[in-house]
Amino acid sequence: MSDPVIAVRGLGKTFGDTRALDGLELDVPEGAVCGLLGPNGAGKTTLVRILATLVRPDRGEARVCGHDVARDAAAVRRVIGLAGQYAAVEEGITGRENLELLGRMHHLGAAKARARAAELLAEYRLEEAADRLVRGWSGGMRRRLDLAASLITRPRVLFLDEPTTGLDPRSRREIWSAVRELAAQGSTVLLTTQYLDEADRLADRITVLDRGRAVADDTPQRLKAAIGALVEVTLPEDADLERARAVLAVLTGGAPVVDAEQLRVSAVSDPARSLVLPLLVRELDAAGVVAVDVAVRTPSLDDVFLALTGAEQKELAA
Amino acid sequence: MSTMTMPVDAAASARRILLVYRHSPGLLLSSLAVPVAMVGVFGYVFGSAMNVPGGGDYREFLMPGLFAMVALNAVMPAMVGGARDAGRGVTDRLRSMSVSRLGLLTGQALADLLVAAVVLVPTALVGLAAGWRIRHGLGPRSARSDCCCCSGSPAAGSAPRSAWPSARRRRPVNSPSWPSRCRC
Repeated sequence: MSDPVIAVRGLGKTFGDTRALDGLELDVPEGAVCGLLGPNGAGKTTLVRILATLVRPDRGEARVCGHDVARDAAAVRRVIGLAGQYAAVEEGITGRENLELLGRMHHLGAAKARARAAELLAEYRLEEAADRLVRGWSGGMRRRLDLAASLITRPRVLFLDEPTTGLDPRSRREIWSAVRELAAQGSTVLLTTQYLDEADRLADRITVLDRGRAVADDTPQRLKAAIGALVEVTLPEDADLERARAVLAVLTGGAPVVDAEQLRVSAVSDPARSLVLPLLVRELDAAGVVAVDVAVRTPSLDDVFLALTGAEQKELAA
Repeated sequence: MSTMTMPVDAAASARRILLVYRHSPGLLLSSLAVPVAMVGVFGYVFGSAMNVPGGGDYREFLMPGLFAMVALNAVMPAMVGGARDAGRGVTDRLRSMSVSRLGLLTGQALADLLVAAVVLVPTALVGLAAGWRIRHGLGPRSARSDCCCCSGSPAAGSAPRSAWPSARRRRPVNSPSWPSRCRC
């Protein structure tokens, strides 16, 4: 593979006493969808703002398509598109006019700006509302317009900062399919999100940020594999709780948690062991435990997220 | 690059503002309503209580003041719009584009100027109806002869001439202690 489209080396940014970014390293290859995950204040938005040439880094360097964001901002601006946390559109004019104006500001000329606006409106199924004032549009439509507005020049690199925050499930799906199509057409996408299912569905790679640093960087599958499966056994009565705990302790190699009220025993298995449902059921049966419900669940990205960022928070509290 | 594209960006930026007015002409009416109402309120309701030192028609002083107010008010939509754009990420988007920043501001200023000019016309017409007159042409005069306190009374010396550039230099005329503080 050629050079990464986004290359970040030792990036640091401090606002007052807050270290938003603290020696961040990141590589995003061409055509990838990279998901940036992290709790609030982890530095996701700061990173996007630095890469989009809106904020200058204090330390380190960042390159987009080989151009340094601090020294050659003009070149970076020619290859990027940005859609932020809000629908950055003018509400007092129509959707078509919004896109046309941005086309003119991208120096396409009036005729081409008009043509490109029409194309994007069709592509994002906004034609029907195109000539109505954006003020009357729904949140999902505005966000689609905003996404379309960031694509006027068919940018090679697209930054999406929480593109679906505050949207209903249907609108989220629409944005997701749009992002997938963009990636299929070869754009490189850097996506920040708080929704882990969003990252799971869209991203080829996930970088988990915590307090200005990358604490994990891998495919969603491998991140999940790294924390092992979640095992849950629910019993009809509390007599068997202790026996169930013993079985789980042996099988998972972990420390099962007993919830006497819910009559449930749960444990996270050692990632190195492959624990499958039939094995678990056989072992429980052999131990004479009657269970009403047995589940082996691959961890969700939520589990990954909490495992990775929670550990640091405990350390912080200590 | 951005210097060459400045006029194009300015035109697009101005267009954005003017389109908002085209879709909502009511905005223009509301910016017009204030100065016109003020002619009524100050010219007729409170105006009778105003004494111009040395005599003269209060309304002749009122109009230049209102013109200045219209001009200053033209800054308001720019301020409100600017704050809204910054809050909603419009500014971020524009800054992440290869667009002339000077052009964006120039376009906005030109559009606001045009809107203020449009509002000034009916304001002037209402003023004319209320008795205000342009007496010394539209161009600015020298500062000295323009200072109404130096020429004695506003009515006698340089009676209010109300092309509004000169109105900006004029102090409120209804302050009773004012003539003694004049320094020119």
